[in-house]
Amino acid sequence: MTTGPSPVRPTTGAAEQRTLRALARARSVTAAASDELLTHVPDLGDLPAGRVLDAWVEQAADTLRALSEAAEERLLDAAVAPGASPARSSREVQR
Amino acid sequence: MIGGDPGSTSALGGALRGHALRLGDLADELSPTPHAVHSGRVDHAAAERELLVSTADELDRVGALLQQWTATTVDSLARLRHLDHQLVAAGLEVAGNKVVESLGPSRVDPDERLRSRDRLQELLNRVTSARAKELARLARELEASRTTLVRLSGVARSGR
Repeated sequence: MTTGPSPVRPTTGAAEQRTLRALARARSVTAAASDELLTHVPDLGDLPAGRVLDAWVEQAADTLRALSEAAEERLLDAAVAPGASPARSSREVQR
Repeated sequence: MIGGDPGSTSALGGALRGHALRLGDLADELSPTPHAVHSGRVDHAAAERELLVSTADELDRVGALLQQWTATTVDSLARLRHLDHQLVAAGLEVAGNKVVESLGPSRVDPDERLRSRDRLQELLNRVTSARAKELARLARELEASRTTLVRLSGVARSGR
């Protein structure tokens, strides 16, 4: 996927450029993975378990889509405010 | 007796593990360079990296479970094919999950047929029981993983 803001601006530092390029790749790779997962039609041979698996696949595709959207948002932030930190402190994973 | 398509679960399992590897690579790309760490720069992509790693963990784990399930199914089918030969030789067949005498006359000694029926029923029970346990375990793992993925989606969208 190549849509969206350009990930690299000429005035951005090398480290930021590297991060933005990686975010651009993350955006496209996760979106493609989400689409790919939805092409699968797994058959466990058991209807209740099959439903559980279908629900999992749909959720996994949604999570990958959410990761793509998060990367997209970061890139948009960086495009609007070049030079500003693309960090988003409110998005932290608690294990 | 045993349905399903091992090819379809194998394909999904392999795809999930492949996606997990790519997410891991992306997380590496988002890691700060040693120079950045040494100079004490803020790690701007820590949250995204953690999301990628956590999601990759779930995809890899479920992918491995599906590959294990595929192997179990293929093994069960091989056992059942072997069982089927023994059933035919003993004048028996499977109805549902029960070993029963085939309709019509049989040249097999009635006592021997009875002993074979009990023995083959035991073998059939082992195969179906192992498969049922594996299926229940898979369903439990999928439910737990889905809960984790729901949380990760929420975290990823929490910045809006």
